[in-house]
Amino acid sequence: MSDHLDIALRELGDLDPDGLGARRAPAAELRARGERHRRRRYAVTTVASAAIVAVVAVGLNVLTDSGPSQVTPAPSPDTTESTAPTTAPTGPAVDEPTPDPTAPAVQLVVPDDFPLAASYPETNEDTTPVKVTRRPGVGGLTLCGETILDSAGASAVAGTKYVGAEDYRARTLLLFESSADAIAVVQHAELVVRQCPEFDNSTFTPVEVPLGEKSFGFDVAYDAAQGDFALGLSSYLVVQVGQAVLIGSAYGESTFPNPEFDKALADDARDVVAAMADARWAG
Amino acid sequence: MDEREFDELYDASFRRLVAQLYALTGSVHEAQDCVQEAFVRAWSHRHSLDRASHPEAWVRTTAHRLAVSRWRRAVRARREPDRALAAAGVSPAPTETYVALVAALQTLPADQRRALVLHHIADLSVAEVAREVGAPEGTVKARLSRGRAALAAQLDEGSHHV
Repeated sequence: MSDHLDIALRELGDLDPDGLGARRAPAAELRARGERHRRRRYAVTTVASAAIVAVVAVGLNVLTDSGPSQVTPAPSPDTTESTAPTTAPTGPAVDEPTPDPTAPAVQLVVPDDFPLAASYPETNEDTTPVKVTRRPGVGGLTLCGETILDSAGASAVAGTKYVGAEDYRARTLLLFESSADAIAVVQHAELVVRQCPEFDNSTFTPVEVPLGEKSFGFDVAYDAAQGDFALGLSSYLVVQVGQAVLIGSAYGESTFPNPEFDKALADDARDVVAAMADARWAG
Repeated sequence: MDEREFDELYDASFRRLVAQLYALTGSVHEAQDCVQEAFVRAWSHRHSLDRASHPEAWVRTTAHRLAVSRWRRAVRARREPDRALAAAGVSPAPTETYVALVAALQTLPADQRRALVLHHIADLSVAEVAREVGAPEGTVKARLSRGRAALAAQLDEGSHHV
């Protein structure tokens, strides 16, 4: 029986699909479909990159160019729009809160050796090094008119990203004046995601993230309804530990939903979250 | 990967990949669709494919994921999964032997079925199967053993009914 089974299985592999009624499309047709698929994917990536560039540009307006240990105050929500890339610098906004010079200022600092890029490859696909900078790695997202995951309100920012051909990963670390502020950021982002399951041809699906003190995650599937693969799947996590918030994201092409994709993102972030718990942010 | 290399890969592997997916899904049309869509993805991702040590394995894995994804969608849509990992019998097959074999395969747990197809039909070693499915070799061996026993029992039972 065993030999017979082996033979039958091997012969099954030798079946001619044409004899089963299969129609084999010309290779040129598949290549043409592949080219269309590739263009759509790059279009999605370009839109995402543009959003990241916009957020980074906003962040650059408020970050100083000095060393990484310096406090890098991020814009308040009220001033974010006025610092859009097309706006000429006009000095401090009238409504901008002015720090009280008599108040004891506690500088928040992301240490130079903080392992924000833990678990990332050392180099990008183009062989350039993966760096940690004082700019956000994850771009802000606008869902149903609300922007989340930007650096608004943060007192210090660090970011990193890994760029591969079909693999884009990024992290942002935000430090806030208090744990309450950090929790509020996570809660607001979660609320926005839960209230906006679909927007702009994308589907937003909350997922569990078992990390940190308060956390949540979500998947963004682009154009998922058109096929069995999402044309692009981004997975996000937002993790609060004390006054720090980690935002992580990974983009790839994948089936949707894909719990393994979400789990990998969370697993990769464990060392960072552990370091958040151990870190001293006061400069 | 250039056009010529892609076409050669397609020509060389299409038939056997469809046969393997047919064994997994029980539907030749589903197998054909998934394999062709996987080749579309392969061309779309050809730079990634250049780095893959086994492009055919990349295509097979993608085709399998597509099949699983379609099956999940079919379940979610609460429609008969007639073209996704469906029960055998929905696809034409040339002989009763193959119909019975494919039908018996569909009764196995998905992990066992995949291990059997990769090892016995795709002719991968246990180590290669383990790499492709992301499981330890011991687990793959256990799936093969249990799958073969279950498959033999299914075929034996079926023969008594004829």
